[in-house]
Amino acid sequence: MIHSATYNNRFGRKAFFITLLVVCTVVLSIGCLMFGSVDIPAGDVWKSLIGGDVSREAWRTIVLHTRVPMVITAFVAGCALAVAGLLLQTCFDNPLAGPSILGVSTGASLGVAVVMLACAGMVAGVGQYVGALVGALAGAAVVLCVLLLFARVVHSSTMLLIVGILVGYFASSAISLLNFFATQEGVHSFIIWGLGTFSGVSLDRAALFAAVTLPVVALSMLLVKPLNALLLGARYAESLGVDIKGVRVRLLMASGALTAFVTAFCGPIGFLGLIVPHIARIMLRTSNHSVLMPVTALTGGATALLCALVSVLPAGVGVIPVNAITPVIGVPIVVYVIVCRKRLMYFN
Amino acid sequence: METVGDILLKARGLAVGYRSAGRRVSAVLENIDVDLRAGEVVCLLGANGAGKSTLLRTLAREQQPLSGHVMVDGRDIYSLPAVESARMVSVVYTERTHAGALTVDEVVGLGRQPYTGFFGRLSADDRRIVHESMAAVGIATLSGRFMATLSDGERQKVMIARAVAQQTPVMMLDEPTSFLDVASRLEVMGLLSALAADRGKAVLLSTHDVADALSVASRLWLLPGDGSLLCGTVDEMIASRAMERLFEGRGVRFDYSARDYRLK
Repeated sequence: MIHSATYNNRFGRKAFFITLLVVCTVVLSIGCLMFGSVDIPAGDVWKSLIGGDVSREAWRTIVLHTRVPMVITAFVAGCALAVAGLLLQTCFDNPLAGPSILGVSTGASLGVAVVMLACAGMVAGVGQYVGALVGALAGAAVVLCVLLLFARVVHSSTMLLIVGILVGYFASSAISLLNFFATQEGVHSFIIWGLGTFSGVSLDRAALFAAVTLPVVALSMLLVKPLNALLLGARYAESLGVDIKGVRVRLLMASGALTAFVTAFCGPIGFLGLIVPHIARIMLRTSNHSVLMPVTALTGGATALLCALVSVLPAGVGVIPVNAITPVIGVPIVVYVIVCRKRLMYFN
Repeated sequence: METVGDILLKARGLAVGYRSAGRRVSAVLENIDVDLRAGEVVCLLGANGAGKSTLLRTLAREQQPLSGHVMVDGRDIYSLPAVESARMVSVVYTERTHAGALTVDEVVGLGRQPYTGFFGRLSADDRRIVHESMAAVGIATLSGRFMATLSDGERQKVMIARAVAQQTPVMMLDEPTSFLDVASRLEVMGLLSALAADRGKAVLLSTHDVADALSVASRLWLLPGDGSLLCGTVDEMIASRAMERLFEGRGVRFDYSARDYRLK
């Protein structure tokens, strides 16, 4: 007997969930603008945004220079990590792949650590940001090269995942060693950065972050056709005319760049890259990237905004590190995916 | 049933096998000269490990030959871009495919990738070809089903329909009937004969089912396991007693009246 659930009513779903996600993104963004460690009346938040008269000038500064950049940073970081996770999951044909699991985030962190700790005092101001960005890119690239190298020898995707985890440990220990030998001030700023936050980015840096990251998200959308072929496995993809080596390099470069950008600006953010593609697949009931990719990006943005909102909700106490919130959302989803793997269909 | 069509694929002086790290070359098959002609079904028979899959992979542009050339359309297949080779040769593998959350028509639609544009959007023409391919393989009723809800046999048919949708002059199938029940097996063999006869394709398939192979094949390629390949029509192979060389030294003999192997 064939029941209706085995059939696909994806197009209704697609329209419904895209609408839902847009609404969620807007509502969560408004939430992030309204709430924070300082209570600001809604009217004044609105007036600060449109440039009207605000009761207290400090409120305008808070809204424009703390909350607006946080909304932009969270949304863009969420999109980037989610897309990076999707690219890695399809590339390695593994539901548990993700930038933080495969050690890409840790590699990027190591790059930043080298810049912030080893080169502390040598560069300052904007130079430090550029340095962190370059360091993160280099770190992510090194990890991805190591993974690519192992992928030639190790054909089981589970083993490759373990290699990624080990590479991540290796990078972590290198970070610890750098911390141990670094100067006090360097360690302090690095530890704060290392907690991972969407709210430590100023307005112009948030704009810079969006300007470098969103084009890579858009470029990733161009890989939809080979990604769909890869769902049949690398052998079939090649027989369908996909240049496997070239596509793999492009996939890893895109996911590496996205992870590196987020890590450089927000610190290492865990879990989002792993879980968001699953949320998107569960909602859409498809692994067809032409639908899945944009919805994953949107879901990533909305999920990150949710995390950002939760992180600022305890008014007066300060900001909870994002990495303390993502596992609370992420772990149940990962467990669900592992337990219901057969029923979820998309990786069997 | 000798068919004389144009040569669609030819291999000359082919040595297939593996090159390991220390420059050690281990050839599985050597000095292979074979042709695939339009309108013929060629069955590749051989014991496990005789090199059937290795040969198929080499002919399908997946594994560089140790020496020699595979030519399609007068050009070396390994010098062609992947897309161009994908318009000449389609393949169906034995292994199980994943892609559980794609629907049957989406997977068959992937067969149109060598022809579609940058985002892989299917035109009306592409969709018509997808439906025709599904109908030809007898899976039109499965069209909207998720791959994960199909049986192994149904999945195999989907992969065959995908290869049909790829509309290549040459089709290669590695044990395409291994997951199928008797009815599906005969249907698939009938379909492959029809594709060769009606659409002038060259179909190369490896199989362990000798009876099937002898009934549908225009020609046989036999791999006796000594690095050579014996090639000829079914009648030639039987007349020259080549079938006996296939499992030499094993506990079976070729029964000429049943045209299949029997225990000694």
